[in-house]
Amino acid sequence: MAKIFDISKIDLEGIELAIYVRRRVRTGYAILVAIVLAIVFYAAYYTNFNLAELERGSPHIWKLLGRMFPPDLEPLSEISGPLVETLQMALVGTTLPIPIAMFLAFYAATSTRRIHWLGNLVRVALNTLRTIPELLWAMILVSAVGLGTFPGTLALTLHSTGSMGKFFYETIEAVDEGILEAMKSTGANRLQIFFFGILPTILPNIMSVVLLYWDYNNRSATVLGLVGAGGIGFILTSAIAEFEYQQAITVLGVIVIILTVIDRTSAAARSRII
Amino acid sequence: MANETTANAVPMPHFPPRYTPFRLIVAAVIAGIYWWSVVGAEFSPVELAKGLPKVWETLVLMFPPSLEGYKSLWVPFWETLYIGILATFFGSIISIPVGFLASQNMVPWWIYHPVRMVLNIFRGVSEIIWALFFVVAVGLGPMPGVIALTIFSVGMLSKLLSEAVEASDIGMLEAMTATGASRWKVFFYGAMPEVFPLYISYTLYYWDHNTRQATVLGFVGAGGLGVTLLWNMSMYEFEQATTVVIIIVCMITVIDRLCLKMREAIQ
Amino acid sequence: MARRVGSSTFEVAGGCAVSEQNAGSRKPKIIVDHLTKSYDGHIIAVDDINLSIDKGEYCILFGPSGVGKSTLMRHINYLIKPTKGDIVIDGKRLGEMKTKELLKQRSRIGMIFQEFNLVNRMSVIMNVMCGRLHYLNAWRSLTFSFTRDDHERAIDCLRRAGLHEEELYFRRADTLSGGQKQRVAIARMLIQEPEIILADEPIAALDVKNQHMILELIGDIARRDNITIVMTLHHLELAKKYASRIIGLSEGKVAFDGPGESLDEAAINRVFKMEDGKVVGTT
Ligand SMILES: Nc1ncnc2c1ncn2[C@@H]1O[C@H](COP(=O)(O)OP(=O)(O)OP(=O)(O)O)[C@@H](O)[C@H]1O
Ligand SMILES: [Mg+2]
Repeated sequence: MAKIFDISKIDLEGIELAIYVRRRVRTGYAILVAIVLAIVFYAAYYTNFNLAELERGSPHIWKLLGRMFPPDLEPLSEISGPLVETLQMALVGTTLPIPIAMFLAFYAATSTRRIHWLGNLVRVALNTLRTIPELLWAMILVSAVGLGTFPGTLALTLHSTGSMGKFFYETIEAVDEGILEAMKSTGANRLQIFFFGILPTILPNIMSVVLLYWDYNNRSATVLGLVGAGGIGFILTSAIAEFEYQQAITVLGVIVIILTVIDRTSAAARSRII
Repeated sequence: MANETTANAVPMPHFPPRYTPFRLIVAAVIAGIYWWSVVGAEFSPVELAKGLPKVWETLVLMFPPSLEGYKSLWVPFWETLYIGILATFFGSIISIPVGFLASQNMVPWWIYHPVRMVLNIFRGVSEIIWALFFVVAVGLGPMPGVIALTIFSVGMLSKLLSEAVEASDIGMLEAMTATGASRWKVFFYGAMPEVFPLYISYTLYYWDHNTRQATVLGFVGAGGLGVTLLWNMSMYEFEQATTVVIIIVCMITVIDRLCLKMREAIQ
Repeated sequence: MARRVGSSTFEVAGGCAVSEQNAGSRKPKIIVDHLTKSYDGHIIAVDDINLSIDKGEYCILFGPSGVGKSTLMRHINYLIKPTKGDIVIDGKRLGEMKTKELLKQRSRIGMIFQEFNLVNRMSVIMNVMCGRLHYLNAWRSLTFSFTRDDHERAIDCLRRAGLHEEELYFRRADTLSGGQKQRVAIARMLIQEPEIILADEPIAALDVKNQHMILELIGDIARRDNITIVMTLHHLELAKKYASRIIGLSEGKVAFDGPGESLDEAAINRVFKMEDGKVVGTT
């Protein structure tokens, strides 16, 4: 708000000033809103998104919802295996990246890196890992190594390594210089500085992000089965694709309950850490 | 020398033992669960050793990227970008009133409990599943993608917004209430200005996230680059697929940079 | 002046049976009627308090920390709902009001706080105009656009609160000094055109010079428009100087009630449950 006008440049009194300012602020906002709306309208036009279509589709949505009830409890007997598999994939896919990301972040962060170009290279690598969504990783890996939980876990690991690595090096860079200097002055070497100066400082942030990604990966793991990368996603998507909506809703219900429980657990853990 | 004598004179405090049986058991259980997960996820070194050469082979197949038919990527590219923009726009707008209704310090429990329950469902179901659902309901194309991502963003942003509102300074809310402002005005003028930077940075984060997800929604037919990618992969046109992946990486990187700049401007 | 500080009021208020005694001649502005508030069922913050406050009185509440001063104060505009009893303003029971009426009533009660409670990220003038939120329609509220009239009033109130530098009006509230912040808070209260001013330790965060300035300012404003003031204050010397009536609370009950002059050491010791006069002069 402050940047839209410069108060020192105008010479008006009291109420006139207020009104002048009000106009300027409003014009500024109006322009901003107009730009955003223009983009949104163009985007809606381009993607054929209109509410009339949604209106036309809504009876279908209700019909679909109607066909989901009452839930068919039959899949309950067969989902326990894939469900456990999903949770296992998420657990490994969250924990395995921690040391890898930490290691890479050590080389990428400006405050700890030694070799400039290597740091930049690591950053580019982390960025690439991060920007490719896990489902896309899974698809590529499935076509490489075949179906199963292995490509799924690897996909989660790759994406999480990128995301966590980026977060880690940003956090390391935000660590107070003073801490590092104090450590340096005691004669600690680079690794010691990292383990005794930086790591304890950023540990709460790390924990909180790890919990966040655990949550995230659990959710992602439920759909990896779509491309054949293991977990419950295969049952779920095939149930929807085969119009077995009453079964799909059961699987979905179980997923939502489990994810909610995990969300609560990690939120509780996070609030205890911070 | 002097130090040593004083150290001897002062009795050492009793440190709690490091390895209590309880801690050891907890460690063993965690290790057990972990091992079991590693096995379940088929993530053994053997598997890795077997798998990585195959990954390498595929990578070799994927390079060099081919520009063949790159013109046909134009439309899905814009589609992906616009799906992300639309979903983030709708999601961020809708999440303001919904976030208000989900805040414990703003509305009575019989409103925020049900609202939170619904938000849990919005968040608990993955974007892809939402997209699948809406593809079945309203047909193929970018529209189900937009709806799916909007629903998911509303679930996420409302929850984050309500948490921020609940953490906001009670004195400020009290001051607004004392002027005779109604509940939602208190929210708008007492809480929103304070949580606004946070709200913007969450929104920007979800813009990044939504665009990223928009690239894979095409796997279930919900528009964007995913459709092309799925096609390329199933036709074993790995070199074309690489081009798409590179486009995705560039797009998300640019958006990430843009978000960073915007966040700095807001602070 | 003399009319406001009729000594008969004190005896009435200090005694029992408030409502009947006052019913005849002059209607009191605020009646605290058997007010009880307990948290979690067992912590009793306010214990069956009866008070009657006339229009134009400058009332100061004092008492040891945690005795329930703030709690009592927040009941007067119903920021807190009582467990038992009620508040009566201008003969109307707040407990029986509908939400709309209550909001209306609140809009006529100005409140200032120890921590100022300005919205940090908003400009000073916006903060002041927030005092007019009750009157702002939905569309304008949603778009953060106050009317021209609101702007004029805000600037007028800022001037009355002693802030004359126009450059200040458009700064963010968190860039101001403590004394300036409290003046902005006072302006926000003034724009409500209050009939009652509630002030919860308004000077505790200020230096000595600002303390006097703010108290004098509030006193002047109140005198001009015959506004009723209820204030909590730890500083008894200041309380004696400015108040027309002092109320001491002890263990959730009224332990002293009278004009400033009658507040002697014995009364203070009674309120603070002290043996000797150590407590006098401390804040
Ligand atoms: N929300 C609450 N929940 C539980 N107890 C509360 C709550 N608010 C206040 N109390 C309790 O009520 C009692 C009175 O509190 P109050 O804030 O009114 O004291 P006070 O007289 O204003 O004290 P101070 O001079 O320190 O401001 C205290 O014992 C306090 O612990
Ligand atoms: Mg208090």
